[in-house]
Amino acid sequence: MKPFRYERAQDASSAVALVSQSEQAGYLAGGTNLVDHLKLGVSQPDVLVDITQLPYDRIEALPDGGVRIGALVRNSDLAADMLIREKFPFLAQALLAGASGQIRNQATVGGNLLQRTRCVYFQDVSKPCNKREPGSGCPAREGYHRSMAVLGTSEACIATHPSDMAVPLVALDARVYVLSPQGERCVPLLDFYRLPGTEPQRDTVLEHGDLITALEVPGLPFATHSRYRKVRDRASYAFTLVSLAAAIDVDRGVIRDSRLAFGGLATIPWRAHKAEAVLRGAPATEETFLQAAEAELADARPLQENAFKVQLARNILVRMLQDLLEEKNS
Amino acid sequence: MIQATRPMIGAPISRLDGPNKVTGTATYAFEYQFDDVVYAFPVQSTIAKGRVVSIDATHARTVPGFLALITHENAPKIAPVGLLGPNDDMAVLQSDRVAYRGQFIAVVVAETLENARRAAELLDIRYEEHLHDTELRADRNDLVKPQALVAGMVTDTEHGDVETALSSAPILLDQTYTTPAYHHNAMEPHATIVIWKDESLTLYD
Repeated sequence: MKPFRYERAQDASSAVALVSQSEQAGYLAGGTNLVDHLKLGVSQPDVLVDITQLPYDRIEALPDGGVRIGALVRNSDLAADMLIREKFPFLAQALLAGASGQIRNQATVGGNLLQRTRCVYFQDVSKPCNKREPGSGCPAREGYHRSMAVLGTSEACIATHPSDMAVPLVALDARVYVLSPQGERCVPLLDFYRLPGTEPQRDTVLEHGDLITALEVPGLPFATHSRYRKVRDRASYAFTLVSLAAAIDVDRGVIRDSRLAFGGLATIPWRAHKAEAVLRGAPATEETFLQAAEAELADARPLQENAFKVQLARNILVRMLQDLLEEKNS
Repeated sequence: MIQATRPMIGAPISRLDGPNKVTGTATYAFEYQFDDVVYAFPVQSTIAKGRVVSIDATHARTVPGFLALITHENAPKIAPVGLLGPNDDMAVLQSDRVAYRGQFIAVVVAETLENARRAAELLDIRYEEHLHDTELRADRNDLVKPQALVAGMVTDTEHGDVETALSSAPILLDQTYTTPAYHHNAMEPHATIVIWKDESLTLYD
């Protein structure tokens, strides 16, 4: 581990100023991903600015039925919050599907959005990786890629985004509030993550020095009837192979609207716009659900070891919508 | 650890180390406290097969508290140990040969654990990399069965008489059952303290 300087920020603007001063500086919140990367040599900052004292630890109801979540709210606290559990149950379920109790107690909402891929090559500094070392190459296509993405990939990178929490959040059109030396701005979460393209080193649209201060989730009445399902190799303490966040609004057998997003399937938390478009106004039948899945997965570019993800995603989508429909009718 | 002085079946037996373990006061080897300890940090191979050509410690030596670099070139030679099986894959720092990824190929000694680890990261290691073959698949016909495993254990074991049992069984079920790989993961960190004082060697392991 490279030696670094530790600073504790007293307020947000001084934190932003400190990190903006050096290209190698970074923020430290829960540290559940960053500390691993320090040990592995994946991250080698010269300064870490501890932001855990900043006042971003509140969960507040919004007038539109939505919720504002401070960036430093712990994953456990968000999952246990009654507002979240009642209005956005799939967000609470996704949080509880991630990591372990200890890690969720430590991890923050802002840090969760910014966690980096668990691709084995990214985490091994003795191996090439275009995300870690731009231009060095990607051994995953030829090597181990069972867990990698089938949507949103590029020649340079096929790594998945590991967050569970971000999956229902992209389904919910969440907004990210960001503080920079120029002031505060709001970025829709759907524009927040970048496809790897030729610059896989940039996971998000954030610039160096940007600090996430809060998330807002707009109100969505039918999200009270939502679910997150995560398929993985072990029942706990494992990253997703394919997960799905789904909410559906059905009126007399016709789908009025739906929200669908996949985790583990793509290089970013993947909003299934194409599937939603097929569902909108269509009869709530297994055939419609299958068509929706096919529409979304038509662009999948699987490799030998991860081809199973396409079929798995299709099955999960169809089965989850059936389950949600049955619950609604019962 | 159980001490037996009378028949134990059915008897309530207390683990001697139970109270320490459940109250969190049991001590790992690494937690014994001594003054003047120095720290050895292992350096592991990043290739699966080949040989170590050179280890340049120019940068590593600039780390404060750096004390020593031990490699196959300066490590004491050890006598062959039968327990390690028929080849020397497990012999530590005895040759430049790399038999597996993660093999210990050097040890850095420094005044603190952090400095030893940092110095280890700064070593410039050059390998001659050979092609490796690590895929065990059922459809391969070029795999060999070793004569013995570590500690002389045999590769195949058999109990009972399968043919007789099958031919006399009233009901036969023909199914394939598989179990996932299980790895044993010790809670204790890999660490040992060695105190070499006068003519005695004390090992906490």
